[in-house]
Amino acid sequence: MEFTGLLNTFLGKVILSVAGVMIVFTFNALIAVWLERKISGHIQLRLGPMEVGPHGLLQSAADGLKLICKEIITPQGVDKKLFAMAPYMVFFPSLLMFIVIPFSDKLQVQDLNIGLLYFFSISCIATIGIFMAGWASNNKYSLMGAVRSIAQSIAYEIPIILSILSIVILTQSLRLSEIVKAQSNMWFIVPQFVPFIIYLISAIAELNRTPFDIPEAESELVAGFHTEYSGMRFAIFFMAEYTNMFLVSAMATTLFLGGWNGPVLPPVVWFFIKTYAIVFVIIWVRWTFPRLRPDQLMNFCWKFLTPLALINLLVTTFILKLL
Amino acid sequence: MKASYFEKVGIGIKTVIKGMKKSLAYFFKKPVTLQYPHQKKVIAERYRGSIRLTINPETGKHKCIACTNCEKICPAFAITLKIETPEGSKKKELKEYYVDLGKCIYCGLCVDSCPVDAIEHSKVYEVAERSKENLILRLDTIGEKNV
Repeated sequence: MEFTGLLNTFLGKVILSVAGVMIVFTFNALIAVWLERKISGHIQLRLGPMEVGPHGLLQSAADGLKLICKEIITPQGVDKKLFAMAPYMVFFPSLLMFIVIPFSDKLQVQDLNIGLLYFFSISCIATIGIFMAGWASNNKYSLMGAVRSIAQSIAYEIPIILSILSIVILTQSLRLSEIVKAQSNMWFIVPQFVPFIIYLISAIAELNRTPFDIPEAESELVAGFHTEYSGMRFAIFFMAEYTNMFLVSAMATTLFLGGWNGPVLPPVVWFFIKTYAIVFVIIWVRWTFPRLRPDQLMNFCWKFLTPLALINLLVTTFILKLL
Repeated sequence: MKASYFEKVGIGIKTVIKGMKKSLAYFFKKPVTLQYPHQKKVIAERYRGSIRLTINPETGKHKCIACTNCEKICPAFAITLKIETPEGSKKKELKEYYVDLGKCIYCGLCVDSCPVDAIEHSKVYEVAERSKENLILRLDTIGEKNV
């Protein structure tokens, strides 16, 4: 009785939400990295990690432990405050983005009426963190990576927002729970297949993953914006990347794959199955395609994705008006 | 002729699908990895591993007649024999047989040159040691490493 009483207070809710988000975050950081290594291994006819735990399941935990134990090195000539702050600037937005994700009909930290807007505006903050890291490192490779990251981010925000707008037009709402409820009969991937593809491509570009990984292109820029980072600070960048991958997939699930809708299994399970299916596709894309050149990347965005998203928006509006 | 915008888009979509199919096909193939310390490769029948003395099943001892052919023919000077002639006998006898695996080039000339087939190749290939001295093996005593 006392326990449920505590849950209803504001503080109780905050504590529960933070705990829940941290659990999902930790679980994902361990599983997503393991999945990435396993899938990449099998695509290259290797096995991936096998030694730590059954089929290498604990490999990420072991790596994390190693990174925690390492000394945090601050190179000479860096802007110390910015250098120390940057990883958290990348990391905290991804935690904040968890707030609006509807894991099930009841499991949602806060069902904001502008949930969709909140999600995509918070995701932009991470870019500032990346630029801070690149600038503070006082290293030409880091700066180059950061500059590229900004250019890429600005370019790919536009097709993402345009592709999502058609969903908003269909549901007449920015509230994520309503968007999920609108898909109880038909997932939006059926009428909105093109935006789904545009969203997925742009999301991969937003994540700075291959084939759009020019901000951290290792053959050109060493490691891009996190060249000078080591130990736990590097781990934070790394975890933020995989958390963002989860979040982007979760958003794709919510918007296009019907969120937690699904028969037999509980909604949360459906949500995670769909999300990790998208994560699989993102990893699969990474291990299939080579990196794009920066000019190809910009061409692809401005000459193909943006016009296509605009045309789709136009067609959606037109059809909706006719019906 | 340069491809038009729409042709380029078509080619792009086609190649993307082709690539994704290919990598997915590989994802479901059987991995070729051999997990070395746990799994070991099957060694070929005529594999030239480190040499050892063959045992005569009747006497339970080695067959060596101390002719030193192997010592003479070894191009890497890896084999050293210590030979004694016991008093009251004209026959030479093998006392100590050393092979330095650090020098051995696994050419097999010693095995070929032996008139009584007293040496042969084993299938041992994990001969790494922590010091150079440990690579020198004495083959004629019990407790040989590479049997």
